[in-house]
Amino acid sequence: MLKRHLFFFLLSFSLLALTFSTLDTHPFYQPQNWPKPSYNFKGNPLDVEKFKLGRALFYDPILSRDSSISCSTCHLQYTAFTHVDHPTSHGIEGRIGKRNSPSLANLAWRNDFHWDGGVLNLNSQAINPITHHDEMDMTLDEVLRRLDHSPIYAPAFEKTFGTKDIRPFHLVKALAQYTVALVSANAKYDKVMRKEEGVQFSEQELKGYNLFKQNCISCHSGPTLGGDLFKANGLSLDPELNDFGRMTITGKTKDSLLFRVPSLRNIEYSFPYMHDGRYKKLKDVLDHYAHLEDHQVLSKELKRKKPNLSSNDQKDLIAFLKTLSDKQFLFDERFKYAPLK
Amino acid sequence: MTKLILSLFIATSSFLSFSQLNFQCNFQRDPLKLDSIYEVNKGEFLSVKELKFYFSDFLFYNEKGEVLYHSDTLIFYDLEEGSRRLLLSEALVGVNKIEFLLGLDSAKNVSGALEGPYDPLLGMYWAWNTGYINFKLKGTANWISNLKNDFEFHIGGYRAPYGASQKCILIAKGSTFYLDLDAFLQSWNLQEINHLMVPGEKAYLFSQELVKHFHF
Repeated sequence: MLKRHLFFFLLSFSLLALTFSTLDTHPFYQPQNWPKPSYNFKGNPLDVEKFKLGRALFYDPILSRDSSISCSTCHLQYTAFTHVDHPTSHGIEGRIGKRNSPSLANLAWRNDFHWDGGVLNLNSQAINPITHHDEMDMTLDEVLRRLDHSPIYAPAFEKTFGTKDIRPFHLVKALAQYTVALVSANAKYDKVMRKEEGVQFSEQELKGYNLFKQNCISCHSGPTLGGDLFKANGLSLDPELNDFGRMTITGKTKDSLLFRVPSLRNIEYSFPYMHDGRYKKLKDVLDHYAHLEDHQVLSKELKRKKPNLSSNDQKDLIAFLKTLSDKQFLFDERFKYAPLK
Repeated sequence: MTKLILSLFIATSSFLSFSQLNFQCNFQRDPLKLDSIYEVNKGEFLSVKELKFYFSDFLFYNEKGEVLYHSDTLIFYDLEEGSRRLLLSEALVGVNKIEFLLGLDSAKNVSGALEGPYDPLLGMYWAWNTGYINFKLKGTANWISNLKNDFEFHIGGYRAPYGASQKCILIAKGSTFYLDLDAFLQSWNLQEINHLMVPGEKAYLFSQELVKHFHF
């Protein structure tokens, strides 16, 4: 009995110590057997103090024109860093955007950003939501003015970047210190793939995994399970949103209605789904794929092989998709709001 | 905002004897003035409200076509700040030809630098489509029949086939080279195309026409 108490005491102490120790270490890590990240760490070396500054900024509505919304408004940690239950997110003054806010995880391995791939650097990505009319609607001049006058941020930038002259690149690098740290690689799926002791798929999850390999993996590929490809998946154009996706960026008609293939990590928590959030449930998504027709705009993968998913197959596939939930990531204390001291 | 000053240091040409290279934007043979009203044809008035652009990749050649000097520096020009002076870092003899890029190449567009001439505060950064506007021009012309009688051009884009950065090659004839903006605007049908804000074929054609109006 005493031994048992001692064990739990030591375990609790270790966890507590781990919690405190992580505050001194930048949370980014390279998961086992993952490829080299695309992010240019040389241009923004990992620094835990900059991470803390970026985290404070991520949660601070100071970045929006009327100080009403922060990055975290549309990217909530508990819901896979997306805006749960909102087909398209709202910015200041209730302005509605055109696209579903993307889930944030494993951004260090991404070569481009946004549903259309229009943004090529994680650092510069933050400028878009800050200045976008339907999101924060701020000017960079005004953001910098506020930071310069802030009794919290002015000294924090001086401490971390060694400058009293805060420039946009300081701001976006601080934010990137936070977003690049969002590594999700500890779902049940990962543990099974790593052959961790005592962790295995249930029979239903295994059936789902096999269906995933037969029907989904050609696009939702790699350890991030999607993220770098742009594909047409048969969704019709919403005449109100009039969003042609990738074509907006490349100007090429062949890219009409192509959108990013999203990462499936933490998908259980990131509803609603698709670029315009038109599907509320995973079942709706699988129903869509199970009923594709030739007249729809489809990627070559879907043209070649339309998923043939029975109702039971869909249930199995959903059971597998739920193994991609990484609760350690979703509830990681280090990513929660913490004021700057 | 720290003013961008070109700091390439040059010396002289045995033929031309210039110790620095200057740039000036002209309108009707005189330096273009922001907000001035110009009569370009009888009863047709035009005013420029904003003119900003990038130069990059300067190459200096001698008569044999050999490269005497190359500068990879990105140079930002803003009419509000007046003419630009390019000083080169070494003594060059016999400069015959100068080449530069009007705009930024694709590597610079996607570098993610965001500092110095890349600073988004300069108003040239495209947040929705990573990259920079090569050439920004804004103004009014009373013959344009839109609501505000205005024109606005954000010319950029580096993706093939409509990369809008244009190479310009000029035979060196002095220490100052010019852009005749009035000549360009006379050649461009402002009544028909007075707003271009996205990359594409029209932006590409604009850049092709524009580059013809640089000269010594």
